[in-house]
Amino acid sequence: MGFVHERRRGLWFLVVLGLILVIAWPVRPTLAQPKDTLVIALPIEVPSADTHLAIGLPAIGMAAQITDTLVVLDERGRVTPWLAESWTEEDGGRSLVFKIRDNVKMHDGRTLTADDVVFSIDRYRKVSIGRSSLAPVESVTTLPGNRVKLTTKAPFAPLLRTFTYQSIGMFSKAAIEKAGTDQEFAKHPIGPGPYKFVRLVRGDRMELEAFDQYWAGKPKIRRVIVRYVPDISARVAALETGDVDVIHDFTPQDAQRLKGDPNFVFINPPSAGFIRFNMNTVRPPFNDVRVRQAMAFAIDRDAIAREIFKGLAKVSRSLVPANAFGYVETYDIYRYNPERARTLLQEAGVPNLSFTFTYGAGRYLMDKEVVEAVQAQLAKAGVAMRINQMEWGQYSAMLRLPLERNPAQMSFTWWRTVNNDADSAIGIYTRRETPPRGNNVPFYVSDEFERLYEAQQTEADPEKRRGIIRQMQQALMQDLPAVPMYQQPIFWATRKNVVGYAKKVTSISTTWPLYDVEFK
Amino acid sequence: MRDYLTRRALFAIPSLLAVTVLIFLALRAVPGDPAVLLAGDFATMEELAAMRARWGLDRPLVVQYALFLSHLVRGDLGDSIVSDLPVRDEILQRFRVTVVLAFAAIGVALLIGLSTSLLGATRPYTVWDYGSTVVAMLGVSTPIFWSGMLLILLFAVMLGWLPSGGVGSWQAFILPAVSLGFSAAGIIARQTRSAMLDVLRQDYVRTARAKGLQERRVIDRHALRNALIPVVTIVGLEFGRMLGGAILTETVFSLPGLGSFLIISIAKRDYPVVQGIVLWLALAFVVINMLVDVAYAALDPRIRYA
Repeated sequence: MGFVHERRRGLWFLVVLGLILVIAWPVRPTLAQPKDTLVIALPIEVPSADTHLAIGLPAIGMAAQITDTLVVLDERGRVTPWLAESWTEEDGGRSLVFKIRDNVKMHDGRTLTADDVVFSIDRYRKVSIGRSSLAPVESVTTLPGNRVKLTTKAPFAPLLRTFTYQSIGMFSKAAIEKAGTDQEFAKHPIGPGPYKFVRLVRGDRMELEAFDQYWAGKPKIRRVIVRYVPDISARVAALETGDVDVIHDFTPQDAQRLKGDPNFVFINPPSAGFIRFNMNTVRPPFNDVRVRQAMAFAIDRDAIAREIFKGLAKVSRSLVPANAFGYVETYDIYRYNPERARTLLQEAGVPNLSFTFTYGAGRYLMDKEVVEAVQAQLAKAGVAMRINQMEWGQYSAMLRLPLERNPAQMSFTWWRTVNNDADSAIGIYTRRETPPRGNNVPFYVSDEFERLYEAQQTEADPEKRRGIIRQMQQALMQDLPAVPMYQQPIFWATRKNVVGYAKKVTSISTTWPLYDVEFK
Repeated sequence: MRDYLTRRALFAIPSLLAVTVLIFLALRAVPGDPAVLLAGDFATMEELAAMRARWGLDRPLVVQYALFLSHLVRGDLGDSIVSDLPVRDEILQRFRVTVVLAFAAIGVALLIGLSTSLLGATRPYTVWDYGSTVVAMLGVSTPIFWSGMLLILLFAVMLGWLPSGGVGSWQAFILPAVSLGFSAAGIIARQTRSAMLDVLRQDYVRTARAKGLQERRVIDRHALRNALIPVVTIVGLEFGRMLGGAILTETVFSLPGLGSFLIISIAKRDYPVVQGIVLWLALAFVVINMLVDVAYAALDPRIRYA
């Protein structure tokens, strides 16, 4: 049996060698060196370093470190000067004139001018997937004194706030022209942002380097690496091991744990996105407003926020996100009341209501748990809800089907604003947004609502406009084409030595310029 | 042998063509619109139509397929709908990661699988044999994502010896290779053990021992070599599977390999990428099968291909 002995010796040798190698391994080299690289792990990859072409809000926020916006939102959601140091409205609200900050350097050494701004806005209007947000804009021109004038077909009140959306970044006109094509420029974008593009490894990472001439101040961290870590557990583990310094998007259970751990900073900013349960308002059974209202009474939204989201999500009290301009929650009368739901269903002649709830499983945080909880809650009101889970691609195509072919009775969607203004959230209940054209999934139509929608868009006085938006929310909460469920929570966490990240995260999962974030 | 391989390569062409037709039709039969998925909630009808036209998705299926084939014969797999980059470059970039992982994992699998099974088969029904069977059972029945998370917890979170994921260093491949390799090791160990037990009962092994040959020579020369033929088939299949991308391993360890790329591309209905990857994998399987045939002949001189 000499062979076995030799084999066994060989095996033990390998085991011991392996153990020596592992033990002798230097402990993570990053820990031994002074920290000058911030590593951020996102659940989605950065598909392009060019904000005009990138998709996915967290990814756009990272690509936005290369560019910069004309205006930003402060912590209270107010529009604040950034690349534009001031602005004025002209022509009775039809024109918006930005004064561009002087001496803003870009990564190619040039100074940002009104020409670059006009070129960038025009390019965004041509190539970006989000270009419809600037659809009301008729022309963009330069004015003397480093100014830019935008003219709209009719007064368009949300225009200024739209420029806080980080996808609308400013780039070097000369660099874009030199690159020749948009795709070529996207391989090495040049802007005025706090970080310069280094490289993008598809499916893995984007690397950025500090731009010392950044107009708002030299970035305190030399390098930023944005890693794509798709698995939630792997992201949390990477934070715990110190492989990464910042993570985004994890479960409420992880959130609770990280919140209670002094080694980490847990960040849970207000969210501009919320979940709504749409009901087809044209077809039975949800063509009767009493049935729709019964659903709102029968669903215990507070319990969902408390139990499933561990108290880290807020209940939505309107069909407008909570932090949007014009939001008001006084019209939500639907506190959990299964008895009231039963009465309404009896009045509507459907005491034994049964319907199908359709959703694209796994798309949104805890969606499966929420849907199953709602099924159980509705059962208490005598409602039988069947659950139809679909793959996201199939589901999103189904939601866009025209009424005659659209089978959805009740469905699960997320909606948001990108500029903290109610306009972009509430506009989906208009006729022109009815599928297949848009996202009016409940097929809600109201002439009065249409009139109010037009009126708020052209109302220049903010207080009057706020009043109109309140009226619209009142109408929606009465007619209830959808049940507003909860603000989709946004979770970030950093290691405790990262200072200043909390004020950089936005209500739409993007990230403001990171130039003043530092390591302790 | 050369004639045989040439013939096999020629026969592979219609198989690959059939793969292109199947995947092309299957992708388009699945509901879902790349334009809606890419543009998300923002896009208007006109913008969606413009996107479809840009990718040629508004043309008849026959025309789309003919265009795909005509590009394919020139070595062009088209551009990704999502990234706008050439599919060939996108695949090659990820294939590098997948190849490194596959070789490392098959190495781990062979090391664990062969050593434990030989240890067991040469001492049947002893504690060594039972031990190796337990290792094999664990390998086969442990879910990869679970073993992956355990390895991360132990070696990255608790001990801090290895990175938790990514491709930043070669050390980053150790944990995924062990996780993936351990699963394949179980399959290899079970196959090798039963093949060895069969072979060790053969007359020629008894004769070899009766001749007074050293046990080591009996095992190496006479038993193992014959036992390896079915094992090579299993190793070939496992390696092919790994080249197809170890989706769970890649996801848990954040490796930008081919498997996770395929899944993401299916979810986004990135038709050119999915077509490219599936064709690539079909090609990889053809090549691996040919290599397995070559290995048969090398292991067993009686096997000759005419």
